[in-house]
Amino acid sequence: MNSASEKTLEKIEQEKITPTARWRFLAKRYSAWTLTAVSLIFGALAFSLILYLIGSQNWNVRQAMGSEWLRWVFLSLPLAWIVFFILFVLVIYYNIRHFKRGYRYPTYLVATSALVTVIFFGVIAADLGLHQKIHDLFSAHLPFYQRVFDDRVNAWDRPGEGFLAGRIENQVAGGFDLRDFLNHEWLIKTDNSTEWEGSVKFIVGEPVKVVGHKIGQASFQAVEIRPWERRGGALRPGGPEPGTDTPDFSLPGGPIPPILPLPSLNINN
Amino acid sequence: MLINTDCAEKSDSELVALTLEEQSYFKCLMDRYEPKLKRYILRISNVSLEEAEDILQDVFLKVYKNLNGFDADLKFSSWIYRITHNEVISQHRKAQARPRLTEISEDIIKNIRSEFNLEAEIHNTHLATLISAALDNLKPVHREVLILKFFEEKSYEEISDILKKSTGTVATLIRSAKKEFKEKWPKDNLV
Repeated sequence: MNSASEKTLEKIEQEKITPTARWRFLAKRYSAWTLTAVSLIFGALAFSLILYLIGSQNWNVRQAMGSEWLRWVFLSLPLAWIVFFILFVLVIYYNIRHFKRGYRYPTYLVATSALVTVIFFGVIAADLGLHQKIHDLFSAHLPFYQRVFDDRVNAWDRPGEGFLAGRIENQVAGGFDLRDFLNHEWLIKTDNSTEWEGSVKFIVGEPVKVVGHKIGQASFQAVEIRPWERRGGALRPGGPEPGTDTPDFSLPGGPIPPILPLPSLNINN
Repeated sequence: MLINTDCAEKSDSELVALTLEEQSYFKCLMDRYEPKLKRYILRISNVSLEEAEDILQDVFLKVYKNLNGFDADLKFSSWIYRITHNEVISQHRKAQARPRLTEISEDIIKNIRSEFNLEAEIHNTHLATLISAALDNLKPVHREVLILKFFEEKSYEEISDILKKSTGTVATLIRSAKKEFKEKWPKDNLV
């Protein structure tokens, strides 16, 4: 009776089996490394955007404190980017484990290395200001982006709970008109007690956040007004100017009008 | 026609390189590993001898087809054992499960005797039966690491390469396997 080796050799000869070409293995290996590199880049960008979006959220909103705090945190976290970030880290982890000698290292070491590397490059990307460029690019070109990826939009689209955001439309007696992200127009009432955060600019087209209470179907009493983006961005100076490359909240375009005088101002800082 | 003595002094890696140029050298590699791998298949699975030969034939074909993917940084023996391990797992569902006594040589018995402090008075034949029965009752993963360690005499690094697990995990597995082996061993026969 033939041995397994003889039978194998016979089969190889009869069926003219040949070893798979070397380039196929190389292509597989390089594809895996390319996928790892791409995941590292996108993971780092996702992390920089998480930093940016969390950093530019107003965590010190007084009304959100107390029992509402956790809900506010949940609404404000850039969950979609966090999910992407985790996915990219998992891809890197999987690739390291499954190629070459990755399996030799303990799971926690590979996982931690993947995580730390992505975070490290994410911080560098944030320091270079890439996060803001990408955020603005996506905001301008992807219609669904702000709803899905910028959780600040959802967090500040709750007039009934005292949070409203949008762009300043024009100045009216006792306040100003504001168009929110869903294109609804609001009358924002201000008075002497309304606090204006120092960096907020009263310019038509300027995106702002308003904390206060809803007093009518389309009117809102402002307690505090803050800029949508902190001037200088969350991590780096030089944030975009309104009307240039800031997100387009479906407002009519056109040239930026001159700065208007502030109505009923009470600037604290 | 290749004569076996042509390959006797060649290393596995040299034979891999030669096989890629001249197919007949593959016979040398197969001859070198056939007895070891057949025993290994029989030890880690419950297949019959014929089924083991079929599995081995599939292993050799896979090895041949993937020769260009062999990473020379890895020992060829670890690579071929890994392919065998994977093939046994993938064929496991097809195989008919049946209890099987593991073949145990004198050297292995000596190894196991000293590792597990087994009583010297027990006769080797009886001891082999007890060892085989205890191994049969272990969890498959425990059984396999013990077989790789004590029967195939592989190092932790080699077991790590074969099972694609970290050396730390291999060490933990061997520790738990030894513990389970001692639990399954008849109490009277442990010192």
